[in-house]
Amino acid sequence: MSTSSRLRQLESQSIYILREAYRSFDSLAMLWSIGKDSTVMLWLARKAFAGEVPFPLVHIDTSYKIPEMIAYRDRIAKEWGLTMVVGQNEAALADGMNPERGRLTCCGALKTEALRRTLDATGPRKRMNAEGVYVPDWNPRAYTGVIVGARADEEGSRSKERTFSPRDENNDWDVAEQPPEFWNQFKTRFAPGTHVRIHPLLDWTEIDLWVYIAKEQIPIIDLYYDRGAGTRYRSLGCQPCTANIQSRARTPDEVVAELRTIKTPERAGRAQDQVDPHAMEKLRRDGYM
Amino acid sequence: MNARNLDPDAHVDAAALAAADSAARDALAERELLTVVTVGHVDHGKSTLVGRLMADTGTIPQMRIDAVRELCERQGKVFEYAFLLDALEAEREQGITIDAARAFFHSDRRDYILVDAPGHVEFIRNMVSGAARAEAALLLLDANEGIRENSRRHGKLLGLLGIRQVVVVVNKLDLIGFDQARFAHLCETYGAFLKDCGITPCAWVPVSARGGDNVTVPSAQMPWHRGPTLLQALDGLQPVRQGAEGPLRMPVQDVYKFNRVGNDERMVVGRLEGGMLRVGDDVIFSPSGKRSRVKALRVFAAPDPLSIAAGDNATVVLEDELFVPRGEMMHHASRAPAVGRMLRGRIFWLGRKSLRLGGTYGLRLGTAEVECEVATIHDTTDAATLSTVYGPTEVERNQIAEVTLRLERPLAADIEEGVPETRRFVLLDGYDIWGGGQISALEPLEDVGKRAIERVEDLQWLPQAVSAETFAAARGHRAAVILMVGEAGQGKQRAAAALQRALRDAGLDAVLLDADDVLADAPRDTSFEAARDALRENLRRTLRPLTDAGLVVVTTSNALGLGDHGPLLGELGVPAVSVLLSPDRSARLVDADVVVRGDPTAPDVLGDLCDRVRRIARVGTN
Ligand SMILES: Nc1nc2c(ncn2[C@@H]2O[C@H](COP(=O)(O)OP(=O)(O)O)[C@@H](O)[C@H]2O)c(=O)[nH]1
Repeated sequence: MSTSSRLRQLESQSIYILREAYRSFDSLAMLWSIGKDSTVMLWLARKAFAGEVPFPLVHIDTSYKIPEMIAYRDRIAKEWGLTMVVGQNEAALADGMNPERGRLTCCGALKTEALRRTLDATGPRKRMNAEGVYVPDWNPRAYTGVIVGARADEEGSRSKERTFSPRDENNDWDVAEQPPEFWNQFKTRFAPGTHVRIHPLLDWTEIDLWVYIAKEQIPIIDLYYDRGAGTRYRSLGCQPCTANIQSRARTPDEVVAELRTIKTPERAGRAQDQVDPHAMEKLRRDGYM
Repeated sequence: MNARNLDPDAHVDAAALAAADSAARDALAERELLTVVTVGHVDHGKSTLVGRLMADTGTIPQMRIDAVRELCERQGKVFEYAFLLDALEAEREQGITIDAARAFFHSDRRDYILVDAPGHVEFIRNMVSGAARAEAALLLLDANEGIRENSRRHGKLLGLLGIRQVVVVVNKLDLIGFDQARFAHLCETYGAFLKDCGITPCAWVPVSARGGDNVTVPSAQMPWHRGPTLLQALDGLQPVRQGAEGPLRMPVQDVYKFNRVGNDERMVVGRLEGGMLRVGDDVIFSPSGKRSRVKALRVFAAPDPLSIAAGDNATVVLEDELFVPRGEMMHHASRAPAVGRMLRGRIFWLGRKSLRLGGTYGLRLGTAEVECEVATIHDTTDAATLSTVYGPTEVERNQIAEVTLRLERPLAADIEEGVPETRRFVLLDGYDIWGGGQISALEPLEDVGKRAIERVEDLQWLPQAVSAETFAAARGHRAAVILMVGEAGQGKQRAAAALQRALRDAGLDAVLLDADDVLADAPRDTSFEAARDALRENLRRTLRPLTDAGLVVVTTSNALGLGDHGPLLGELGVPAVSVLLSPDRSARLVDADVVVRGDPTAPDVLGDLCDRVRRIARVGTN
């Protein structure tokens, strides 16, 4: 890629951010949803750290994920030597939580709550051991830095979010009074008790990701491609709440071509966004994103 | 990256996908991106121009434009190109997503992000914050209304913030009948103003945004215009981040050693902010001065490269197992960075709390972080009112200031144009980054230390019966001080005399004062420091009545150094220019505004000094 090309700038910036994050936090984790965004982010981490990923990958398993996602997760974790940590809201599941109780309620319990308690270590965490089996995690520490694959173009406004974005104990963030980010200098000094979301993909768009996936031949999960039935997923989530789209795109290049002619927003297949126009905002505030 | 050829109603059809090929994808991946900030007075046609650019470059498909036109017709409104932006923002479509702050379009040459900068506070924020960092500016001017308040304010801010690439767009030429003479006159007046701000525009483009004249295609209405269209002018701008041909600069970000099977190497990592790095290169780390040689460069999932260039994240294996902490800067022996502890620069401050003289702050440059103390605040300019104060004791929110900082330990940095990343720094107050700036000088610490000036606190000055305003009105200028300094034998007195004559010719009342004369009775039986403090106090007292009377005072002195002047002038509250006469190319720039290396009585030197004095002593400033 040429020096000033957009993709190279994006890649370079993301790797720089990942290295800054690794340097700034001694209890750091990366959220891996198995989707294309966080899988690209994981790929960038391998590039940043010479093939190692020197922090755990955290996945929140709602138990309603498309089964291929879990199989893919564990296969990649073994192949790439990842430290895999999985969290789940076991109490809510035991209590029978499911999407029928209301999609936002379900997301709130199985995603938001599960994520919060996995990150602050008040909930159960499982860690994949050397044999590839999930056992209770021995690490009792909260993660103070969490790397998240959020993109600005999902929200429409880049001005609100920061690359290093502090949240207080309640997972809240103060949008109005945060200082701007100057050049490549990020907020890496923090008051005790804050934890920080790090967003290495903030400036990427959906098409950027796909062009990059094609160029780098990143083995993202094949649910994103048409596997013969004339459908594929554009965005991944829980099985009951994620719809596929009509498409015959079988390769990243074909997805790129398709995206250049498509008009519906990316998350249109995600049911929870349709319940309430402010759903994303809410979930984000609650720490889901 | 924008979705090119975006056709909203195209069916998602697998047959169309047969055409998908990796060549198209590569073309997308290789596109260059330039960020440009758009500024100008309200109603001068910014939104219209942006809508035009998006439409005429094909970024917005014709169908969408027609749809908005139809909508206008149905609602009985006149179609405006600015409506396109509103429509896009409302729909937020894939590929041409825009929000209040950003719009995208593309030329054949590259992609553009246009960042809007409304108001002055947002302006500064947009100019400095990560997402919106602009490499160039479009300054918009209404041909009919001419230069307005924000035209001035934004021009000045661009200059203060160091934006070098500026295209001036003179809009609404249709309203002045595409009159070449009026266009030329406007360029001349505004050009002179911009020059004062330190800006030489790359291009002046007369357009009618509404009619599309000279926006993407040359205008038949303005055959007299020989220069570029707006799009050509934009395509002529250079991305700021390039720098492979510049000096090697790699701030050390971290050192990795993962101790895994097959990988127990020590790897020094960081991003190349300038230059090229090759296997086998001899490298130096500053400020420590450690040296080594590059044994290998690593990348993931590809063969190890033999060289890398600016913009690349480097993973470097050295011949020696050196301990190089984060914050060191790797470079070649030639074109080394400056190293020092006295840092002078222009900053902008966004903190809720003011930046205080004598206060302690964190300073980050590249990957280095040090504590620093604010040694001098030379001047501050308010971003909203543009009024300048000389020698204040604090920098308030949204002010731009010239400061000298004393660093807790030495730092390596660039002081010249070339590698922007290693020339910029940010300032931290507590946990947050509240200011940023650019270095103009970096020097070793003066060993004078910090001393309070001994002075008589209850000294009663006889107040002048005639006010400063009356003097200023009578003379046509305010008071100012020019400090001529430099080693003995540089001809300071001869230079001062020539300057006095030149100032007289330029209509300014100036007097000469050789400081050493008024300092003759300094105490001799005390320490050198105490003697100097006394000298400085004497000078202050002598200057006071002269500046009260609105005179320009040209001082010469062998006894006082540059370091003495900052505090002195702060107390007088009078704008000053320090001029260092020095034959030495490595002359210390820390506390001098001007360094004269050749003949100080040469007409161009005198002309430049007179210009400066006229600027700072202009009635209406301060
Ligand atoms: N005559 C004429 N009017 C224009 C031109 N460009 C913009 N305008 C008008 O100037 C007004 C302000 O334009 P707008 O783009 O909203 O300005 P902004 O406030 O700078 O974004 C609108 O009424 C436009 O129609 C032009 O080239 N010629």
